[in-house]
Amino acid sequence: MNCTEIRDSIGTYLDNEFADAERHLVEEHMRYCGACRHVFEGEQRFLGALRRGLAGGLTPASAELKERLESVLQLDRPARPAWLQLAPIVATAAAVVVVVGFFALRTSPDQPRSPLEFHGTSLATQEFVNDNFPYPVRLPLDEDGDTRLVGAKLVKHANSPAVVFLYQVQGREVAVLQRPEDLPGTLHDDQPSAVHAVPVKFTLPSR
Amino acid sequence: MLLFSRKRKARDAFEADVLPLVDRLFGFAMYLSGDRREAEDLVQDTLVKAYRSFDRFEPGTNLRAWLYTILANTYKNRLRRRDQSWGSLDDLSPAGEAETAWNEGTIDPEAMTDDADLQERVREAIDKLPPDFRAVVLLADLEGYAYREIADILGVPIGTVMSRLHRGRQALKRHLAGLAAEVVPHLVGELAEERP
Repeated sequence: MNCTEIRDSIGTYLDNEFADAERHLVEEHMRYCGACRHVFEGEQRFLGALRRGLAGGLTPASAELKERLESVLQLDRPARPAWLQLAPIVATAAAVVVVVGFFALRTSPDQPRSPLEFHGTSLATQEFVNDNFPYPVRLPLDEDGDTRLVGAKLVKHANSPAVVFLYQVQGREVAVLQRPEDLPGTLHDDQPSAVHAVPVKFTLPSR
Repeated sequence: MLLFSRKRKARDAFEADVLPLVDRLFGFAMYLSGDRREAEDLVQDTLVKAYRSFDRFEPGTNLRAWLYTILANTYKNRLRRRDQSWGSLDDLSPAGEAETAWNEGTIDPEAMTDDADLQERVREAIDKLPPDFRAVVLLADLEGYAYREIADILGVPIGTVMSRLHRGRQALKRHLAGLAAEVVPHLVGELAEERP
């Protein structure tokens, strides 16, 4: 190899991409050619600075992003099998059902519950909703060994009163927003497939 | 239910293996896109896509490289949707002076005032590269991938990787040399004296 070829191949040499024979050729050349060794050292210095700058300047992910990612993945996770099984029920249900993030319901256990929110057994939760919600509602999901109603919260959704039911589905919390069908402005066109789309597009309320 | 429990296992594994890589992926996405919001979206899209197909991922193959493949594709598609191209370095002028400065040892990275300065300069230089060159340089000089792996991640021939890496580094060398002279004022005098 002549000097031009050697200089063109310095990067490849420094990247450890040469086979032994080629490495040897480059090293031999460096031994007697001061000019090429000079170029080699410059390249080494530059690559060292570049790599040091890149590695040192890495930006870590924010706590908010990590939290968001975990919510997105968790929503995707237990809900899927349960929803696949429940999809036909949801499709024929009288009410519009939308999955929302369960953290909308999350409060510290030490905080007093708001009068609009209730956590307890399935029966007590149903009583709370019947007593406090101005319209009759039907439970959005049937309960079984894997699916259990554990709480509810009265909210406004798109200017209509609505109930967020909190379920335990296969050990995970899933919240379901329900609006009564006899109210004006309900989302009759919503398809249950939206249930799958929601977790992907989901962003925390704080964003 | 058997199917679901197998999937659940795959997803448990996903959380254990992939979530610890979030910082690294985000750091890469920040360099690649140069924008925090964009980088966060990129990482989220990448993880959701990976999560959905994780049960098809073969354990034992390179998980990190697989994630970078998804991330790079996602970014390419986002740029395409916005009618931004990967860009090219066709107008790249010869490194000339900058090359000489590095070779003469007049630019000493150790002498750059501090690491924060060097990092800022490197980030600016990376920002100036077209995205396809940026991707190759980052995979080589930040992530330490071999040419063959970079070719697989980006879905381009190995020759393309080599030429983009070479030209990308030339461009960086030029930006960094110019900037280094500003950072270390005494170098400017030395550089001027050396010019014929």
